[in-house]
Amino acid sequence: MMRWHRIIGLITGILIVVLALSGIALTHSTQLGLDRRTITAPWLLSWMGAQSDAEIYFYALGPHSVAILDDRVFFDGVMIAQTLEGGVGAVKIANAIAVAGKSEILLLTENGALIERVTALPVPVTGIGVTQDGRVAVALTPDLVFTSDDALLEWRQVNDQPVIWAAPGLIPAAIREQILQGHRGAGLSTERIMLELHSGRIFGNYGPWLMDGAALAMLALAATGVTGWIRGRKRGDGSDAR
Amino acid sequence: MNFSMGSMRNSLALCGFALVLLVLPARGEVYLSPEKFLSESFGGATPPPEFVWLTGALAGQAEAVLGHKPAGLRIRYWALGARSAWILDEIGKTEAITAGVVVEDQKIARMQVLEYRESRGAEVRHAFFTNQFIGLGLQEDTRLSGALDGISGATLSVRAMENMARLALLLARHAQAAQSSAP
Repeated sequence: MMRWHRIIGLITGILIVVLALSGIALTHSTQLGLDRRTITAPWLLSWMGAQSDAEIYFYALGPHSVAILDDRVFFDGVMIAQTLEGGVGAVKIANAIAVAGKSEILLLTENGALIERVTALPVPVTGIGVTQDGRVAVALTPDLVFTSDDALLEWRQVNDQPVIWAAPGLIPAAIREQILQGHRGAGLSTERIMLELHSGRIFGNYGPWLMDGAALAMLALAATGVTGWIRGRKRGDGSDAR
Repeated sequence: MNFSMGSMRNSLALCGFALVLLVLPARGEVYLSPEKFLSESFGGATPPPEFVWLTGALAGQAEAVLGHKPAGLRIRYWALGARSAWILDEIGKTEAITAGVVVEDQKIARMQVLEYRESRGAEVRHAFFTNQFIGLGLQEDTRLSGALDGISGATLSVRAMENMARLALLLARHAQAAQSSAP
């Protein structure tokens, strides 16, 4: 019986270690900060398939740039917001930058620091632009346009006012790669890796079955260990029963 | 062996929980719209919005209250006389909780969860919890002037609510001081 115990232990030992350690890590995920720590290793990101097929919308705003990918906003290639639903565009206004999603505007300083998430505005926004006197304008439909005061506190509907609407441009290759790297990393926490490891999904489609096998092996180890110990005691040596 | 099995049981439960999270859509529960909250708080006549800038000493105080840098450089509020309303966001565990706080004469007059996005801990929206804030002010050490009974299993959400209450009181005090010193 102890022979079986050793064989099972040798074959499944590594998987059991993975199960145990990832389980402990998940149990203490918050204390260890695993839910806040993100993965940046390119090989791991590629292995996990953490890539987006979505298009990057790039807006060159003087010396700086804003890019929108999925719900994420990047300033000069660095992610500054993760939850801008339905990115619409970005414009430069006096001393600030306005990035619109369909239900809010992120008002940024010229250096990309968030001033305010402006949610009190006409929605759903389908376009953002700048009027000739430098005010932010949003379009709900081509015929339904609103402009704000300088502080984006209040909005009023305007008719036939010329607006330069934001339009995405060509993204430089270096910024594109930086954004894709940041996008993949931001979406993948260490906790997620531990979950994938613990469930076996990280090893592919058959990974969960592999981990099921390891879990059953743990039961078998318990059974063979106890049985072997009892048999050994009956034989009187109590130490190494074969 | 027992330890590993115990860990595995916990972890399998976590895996199951994560699977449920993957299946469920990640959207918040809206309990009250900001517009309605403001309208109710000012008897149907919401004043125009104003804002305070989180710069200088105030930025440091706000950071000390929240335990992290505030998300934005300015915070919008609505004020009428000694009454001001603040709509704030604060992360509970991983998602933002949106709460409305009304401050009158430097005491909390109303505290309400407007939107809750976390998967657990939404009990903080109930009146039995939020009513505890009413009448509390801010001490010199920026703590609330009274104790709160927490909610088991919602520690982080309770902390986020408490921090939003403290921040609203801090900002209201600053806004009123600025108003008083204005020519």
